[in-house]
Amino acid sequence: MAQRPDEKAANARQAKIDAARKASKTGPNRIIVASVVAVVAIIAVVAGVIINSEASKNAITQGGKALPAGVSAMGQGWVANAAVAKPDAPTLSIYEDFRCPVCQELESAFGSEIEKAAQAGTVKVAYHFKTVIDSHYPTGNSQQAASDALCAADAGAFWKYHDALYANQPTEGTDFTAAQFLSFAEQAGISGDKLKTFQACVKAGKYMNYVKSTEDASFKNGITGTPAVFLNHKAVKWTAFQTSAGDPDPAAFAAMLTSGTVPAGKVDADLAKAKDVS
Amino acid sequence: MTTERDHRMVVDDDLDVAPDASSRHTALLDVVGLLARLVLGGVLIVAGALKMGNPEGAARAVQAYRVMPYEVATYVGYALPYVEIIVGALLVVGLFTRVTAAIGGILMFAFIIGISQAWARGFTIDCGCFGGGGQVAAAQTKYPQEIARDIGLALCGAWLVRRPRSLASLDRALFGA
Repeated sequence: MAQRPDEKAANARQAKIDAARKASKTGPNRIIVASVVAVVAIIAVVAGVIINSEASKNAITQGGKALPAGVSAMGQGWVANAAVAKPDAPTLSIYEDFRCPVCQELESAFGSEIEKAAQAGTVKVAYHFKTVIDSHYPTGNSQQAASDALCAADAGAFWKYHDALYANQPTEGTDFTAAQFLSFAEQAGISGDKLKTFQACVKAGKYMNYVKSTEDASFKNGITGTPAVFLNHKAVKWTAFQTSAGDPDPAAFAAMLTSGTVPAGKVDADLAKAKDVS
Repeated sequence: MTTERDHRMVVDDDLDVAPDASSRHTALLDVVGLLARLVLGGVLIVAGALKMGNPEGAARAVQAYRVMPYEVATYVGYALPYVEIIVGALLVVGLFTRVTAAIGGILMFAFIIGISQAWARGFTIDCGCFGGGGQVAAAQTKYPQEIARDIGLALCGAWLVRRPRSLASLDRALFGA
């Protein structure tokens, strides 16, 4: 092997050092140090993985494991208007995170059209709660918001609670406060015994596991971002419903809901491979 | 190890190389080695530290590449910050430089492949290299920059695998390497 002169010089120095070290029989043993470092490193990584997976289990199990009304298994979407939806109504699936700013844009653009159609029963609205923001700001606050919205649904006030969450959405990276979660219930008109039940539901985090399950199930189905909107399982490019001036066009969106089909050119190609299970 | 050959080499050097010129060149290469260690090690430590405290986010970032099965990606996401910090710390102090540089370089190579396939498959994700990660808007993807950065870091690893000797390393202090 051809060595550069400087490398040779360095090797020579090395040889001298080695010779001196060998002669004196001092200094740490390379193999022992390597073994200790390797063992410590492996233990640290394994311990880290165990701590993290236990922490994630605890984060889920600290909340309740209840399924919302009408949902038969973890991971399924929750139909917000099951009582009034007409049997032949198309299914509108909405994947949302109450802390996601773009979800708030969807809400302000078409939220009232969605709510009107839901209450008239002309569409079956299935919500799949997601916690995308929680994976950036790990406070579990999006998960809590969705769980609490389902507590409000138990009290018959889902839509108003839903609206209050979006109207008071914290700036990205910050949380809804515990006091807000409770005060939104009163704004939504929950009172008396229902309010007590609601408060107990919030305290228990009754639907925390369920919300985690819809986040995971939708992620596995390719819906990794929020919001995502599907009509009869076809991805809707909701931002394409615009007037010529570039403003949201609620009338066109409402017409789509009534027709039950996504117009050509308004299909979201980015979600072509995503699978909406509602 | 001391052999007859080594001693001969000493003699050769003394004969045909001006000692101060060669030692200056070696010192320069040692400084390059130190810089490579600090850059690769430092970036690994920062990347690992920024993922600490958010195991679910780290898991999601790995899952978003859709390379490994969901559950496997979860555990890789949990382990990655620890691996990065340990390898980074060993590089910064210069202990077992060749092995840790190889691991760091392989990590960078894996990241380059992961980012490239995400780009090729048309995903719109953040690499999650320094926390964050997952789905972003198409306009927010930074694939070329992310790949360029990781190639630079992989080259730091390659340098140290080829020439692990560097200035101010524990390898030198402990073992005289």
